[in-house]
Amino acid sequence: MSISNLGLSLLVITMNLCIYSIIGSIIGIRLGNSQIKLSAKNAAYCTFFTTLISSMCLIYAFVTNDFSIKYVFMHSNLSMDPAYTWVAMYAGNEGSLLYIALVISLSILLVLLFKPKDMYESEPHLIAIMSGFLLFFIGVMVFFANPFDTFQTNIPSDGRGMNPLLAHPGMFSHPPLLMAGLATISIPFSLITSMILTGTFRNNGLDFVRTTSLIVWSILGVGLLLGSWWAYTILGWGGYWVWDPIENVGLMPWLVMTAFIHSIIVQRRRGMFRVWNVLLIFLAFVLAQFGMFINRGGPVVSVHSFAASTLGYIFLGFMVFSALFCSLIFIANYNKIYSENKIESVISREAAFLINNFFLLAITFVTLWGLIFPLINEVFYNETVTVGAPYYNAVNGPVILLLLFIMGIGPNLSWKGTSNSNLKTNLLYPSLIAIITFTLFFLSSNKPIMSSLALSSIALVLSTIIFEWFRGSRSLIKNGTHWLYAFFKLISNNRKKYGGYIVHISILLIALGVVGINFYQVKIDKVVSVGERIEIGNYKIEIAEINENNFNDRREKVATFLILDSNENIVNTLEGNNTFYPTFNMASIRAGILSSPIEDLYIIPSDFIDNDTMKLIISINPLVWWMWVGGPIFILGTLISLWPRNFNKS
Amino acid sequence: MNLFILISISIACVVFLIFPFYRKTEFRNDNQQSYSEIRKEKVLFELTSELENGTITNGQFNELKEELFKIESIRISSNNEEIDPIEEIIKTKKNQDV
Repeated sequence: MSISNLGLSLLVITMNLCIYSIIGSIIGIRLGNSQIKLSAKNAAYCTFFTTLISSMCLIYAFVTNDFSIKYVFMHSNLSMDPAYTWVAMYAGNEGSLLYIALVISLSILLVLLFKPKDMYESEPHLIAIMSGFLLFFIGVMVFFANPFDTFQTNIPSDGRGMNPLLAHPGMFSHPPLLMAGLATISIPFSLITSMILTGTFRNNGLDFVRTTSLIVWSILGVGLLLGSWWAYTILGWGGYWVWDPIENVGLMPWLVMTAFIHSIIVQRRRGMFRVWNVLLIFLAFVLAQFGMFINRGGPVVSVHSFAASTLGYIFLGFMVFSALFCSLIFIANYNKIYSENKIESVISREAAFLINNFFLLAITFVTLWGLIFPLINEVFYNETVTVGAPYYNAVNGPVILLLLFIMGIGPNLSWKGTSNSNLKTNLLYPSLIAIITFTLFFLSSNKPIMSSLALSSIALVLSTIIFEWFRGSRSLIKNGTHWLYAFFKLISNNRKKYGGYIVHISILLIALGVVGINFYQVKIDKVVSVGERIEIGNYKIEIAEINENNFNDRREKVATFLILDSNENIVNTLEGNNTFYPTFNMASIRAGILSSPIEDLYIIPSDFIDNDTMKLIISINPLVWWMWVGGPIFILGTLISLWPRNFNKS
Repeated sequence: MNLFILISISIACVVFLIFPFYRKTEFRNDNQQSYSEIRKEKVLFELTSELENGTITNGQFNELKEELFKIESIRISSNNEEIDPIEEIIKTKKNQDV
């Protein structure tokens, strides 16, 4: 038996286990039979091991260069660095589906292992829903996109090779995190759906739902940020985000999940927003399926869809099915979900959360409209329309600004209502700092007012957090306790809250980078020759040389730039390259980047005209460095927020 | 080798699936016991909060607690698989008392 047969057979076994798990759970629920329920649960456990071994079969095929398997032939070759075997596994549609199935089966295993005991009533429903979701992906592979499909005759001796854009360190983590994030939105979705179906959507399982949602949200968030870093360094777009459809379909569920992890706090604390929370998680799940559809053969053109296929209609069908399923569950169980608690005051923490949710959803729908508008236009008016970054920046920009503003106000408000004196005490200093920041930037630069407003909003949020920390730490300082100890004690005492604030700081750092590049960027386009010098900002750049290197699979042109100081001394050397891959008819551009906390010098060799001349795009991107610093802080904040109060006990 | 792996995995899966039916009685008792504990914990939590809120008196709290323990002990010994929402029973009893 060949490795391809073993891999496929294991997928078929997984498919049968899923079916057994679903049917077993339903029969177990109907008959109230614990043995059948447990047997169905065991089947759900088994799916992870069978999917894992099947995935290992594919990796083994890559490692051993088994080009009899079409997928291995399409995504690797003999000259491929073995380190990229992991990347090659999900470089195309079939392999990425297998990877997604592996993630879902692992989620099933972990959820069943770590689920709190008091959620026992909803367990069979949970198993049926999650197994159903896994069954879809396994079924697609078995019937339409078999990763183990083989050549019957003329087995090639070498492969086509991996997509060159994927040969980047960021690819070890960006696509798997993004795919895992989109796939695991099914966890909080399944948990809530099963709780609704069993009438147990109360406070019992909410902490677990929140924990899983935070994990999923952070995975998706880190995936998006890594994608930005990859785009900034390899794609030669000159930026980190271009509102490409593939980027947008990852962003939209993340935005909705951001709204959800905030509003679930309100449900936990005040028993409110139950209907709203259900709507949010259903929307996030449907948007995740929309993302799968766009990514895998959707009708929208993207510059970096690596898993494109002809299976778009299947994913569209599943998305429609998901939307109908969610609607049905919602309508049929509305009375069970409905909560009579109402917001008592507009100036309260819960009201701030609700406004924050509206802004996040507004950004989501603006993005969604930008994505589907070209389709609608083409279908109904037969016109080709492109919606680009200017639309998104113009419409989403002000909403993001308002969102930042509410991030600064919200933490100063109390639950149920805020007294005027509290409001004055909490907001006085942050507001003053924000006003001073605005005045300084508005008067000292000729940039649009939006830039000053954005920076003052960042100052408002940051000062709110710092004052909150200061007040909290001060209350813990007694009997000569060191302030640093008091600060860490404060965070340790309320990890959920202060971990959340650390995440807010990371968002501020990302916002700082966005403001820097959008409002303060300096950019020039120029055709230059070797030996020529260019001045931009405080930099003097000399084009030192252009080298051409020919490899088996690519032609590479590398330009070397010398960065000089005011005394003509060389302070740094940068390299940028433009590589053409004939097999893929694709070019990959790597910018030369000199990065610092103040600004990045960013040189893109966009086109080589002849051996000595090239077209350069040079920019100074202020504060972008902070965006990448925001990533680790984001992870740190999430981990603090997730860390159990008593780890050993938990 | 690959065939051996496939057969081993298939057998392991089948064994794992039929295992709950094989250990039928033992599992049932374990499960009933743990579900009963969870239910008791949940209802006691609700009763305590109602006592704190002043919805029920101390006497009613003790009476309802005894009732809860009695119902749970009957459920375990009767081997009944159906899980009725115990909160409903307590609520009915409480309404009668009030």
